[in-house]
Amino acid sequence: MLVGTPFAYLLARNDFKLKEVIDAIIDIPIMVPHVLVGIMIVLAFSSTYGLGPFLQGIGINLIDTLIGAIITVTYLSATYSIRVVESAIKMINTDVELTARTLGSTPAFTFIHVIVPRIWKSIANGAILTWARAVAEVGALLVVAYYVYFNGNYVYPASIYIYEGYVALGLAGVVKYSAALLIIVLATFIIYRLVLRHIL
Amino acid sequence: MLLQLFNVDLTLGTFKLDSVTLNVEQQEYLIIIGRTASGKTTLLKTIAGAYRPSSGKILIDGSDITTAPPEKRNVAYVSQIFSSFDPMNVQGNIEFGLRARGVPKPERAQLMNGIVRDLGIEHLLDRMPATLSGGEQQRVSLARALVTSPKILLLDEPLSMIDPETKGPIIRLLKAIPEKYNIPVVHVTHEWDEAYALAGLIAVMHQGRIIEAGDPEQIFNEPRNYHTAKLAGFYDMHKGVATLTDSGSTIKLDNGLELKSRMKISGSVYACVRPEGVKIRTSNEFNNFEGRIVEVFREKFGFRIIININNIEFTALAGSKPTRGDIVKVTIPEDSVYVVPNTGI
Repeated sequence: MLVGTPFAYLLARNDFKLKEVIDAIIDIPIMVPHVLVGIMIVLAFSSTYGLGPFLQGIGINLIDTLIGAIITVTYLSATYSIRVVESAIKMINTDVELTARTLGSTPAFTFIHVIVPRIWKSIANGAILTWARAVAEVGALLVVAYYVYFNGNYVYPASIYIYEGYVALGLAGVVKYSAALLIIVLATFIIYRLVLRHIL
Repeated sequence: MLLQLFNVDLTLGTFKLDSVTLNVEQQEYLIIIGRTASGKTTLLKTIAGAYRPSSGKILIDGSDITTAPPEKRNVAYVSQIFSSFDPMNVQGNIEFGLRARGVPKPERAQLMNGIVRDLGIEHLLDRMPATLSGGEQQRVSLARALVTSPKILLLDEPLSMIDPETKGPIIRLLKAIPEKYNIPVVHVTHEWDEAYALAGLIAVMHQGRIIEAGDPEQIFNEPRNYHTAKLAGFYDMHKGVATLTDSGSTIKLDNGLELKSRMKISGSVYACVRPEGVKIRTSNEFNNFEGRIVEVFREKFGFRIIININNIEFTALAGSKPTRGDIVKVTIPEDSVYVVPNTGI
């Protein structure tokens, strides 16, 4: 939400040079296998390539860390949030904003008090889709954060744990984990829909 | 002058505002009229601050606001659609500008009460905007704009979404605004009747330029070019060549038809005739023709009929229903033939 919403507003309301390039970069997760995105991230941020040596110099490591995993799934999943919110903003007539602005409202005040109340449902929809997409991510995490060192332990992302379990133990060994993940995601979506209906 | 535009240029894609110059006085009611895509709304939004001119200057009360953001201009823009700020009720909508400016709550209530009394909408404050009629929505829009004490009120086709019965009271309300609130109003429309009823000054826009400006009577009775005449209700405008005569001029139309006019003019012209100037079955010394009725339309006042005279069509009005195909005698009195020079605009 924090990354996607401002980005969506920028894209929906502005024409600028290289907008098409930025649009295409946002869509990369839809265009290519996610393993490839993982490789791009490793090339950009590993200890020996790209920005990696610089980041390591200031104490930031993105490979096999929680922050690396978060950045990877955020990039891969934010596309959905950005596109959903961007469409919602485009549906709002620009006259509404101009009216508010001429009444003395700053761009920030207009965004918070005029735009957000009209798009909050799309923001919420985008957020839950993004979360679901992040939970489902395997390809890029296999490359960037196969396991994550967190709080003194090595933690596997759920999707990788299930995949590895299937490869090592076979079907019987991972059914219960798969079912647990499915139930959690399904329950979250059902609760979300019920809350949304209750609010509306 | 409260609002001044000097040679304002703006390019939006393929559309261009071309060297627009305007002067609006303190209590002026300016109507900017033009056909769809003539640039009138773009000009209004440029004054509001939505677009930044590529050259030229916009001054409000002597201050240059050409590059100022909308919230720093102290103008209030009322759009064609009702821009409700959901999910606020009417009171929330009206107070919005004051809240954005940080006006304390007691003062907000005082200012709002005054304006809603003026506009007769006290009973609507708790309603949600979506439940209001077109006329009520327009009153709320005006209240929301006027409560902020703007220096200029900008209206973008404010009557376009209102039913005909509600238009009368809203027109009265709009007409009173400049004097009552001591501000100028800039109102854009494509409706001639609306413009004529409200304007203190009319500016005609065509292809991004102001092609004519003046008082409404002058624009209505003596338009100086083709597009203004068309907007001012001259249904039939036929190209021809005028030659001077003792009493005015004779216009030879492209099909050979000759019309007499009292206007003294020569050269390439348009002969312009309003439907009420075309008389059926009467006689006159000049401009007597025979024509065939090719179409009949029902109107509030009776019937509007299209008559083909020598392959050129004229529009006339009739009280009783004529029959399509009838041959009729037509007179166009000399003083009903208005002539504008063919200048290409």
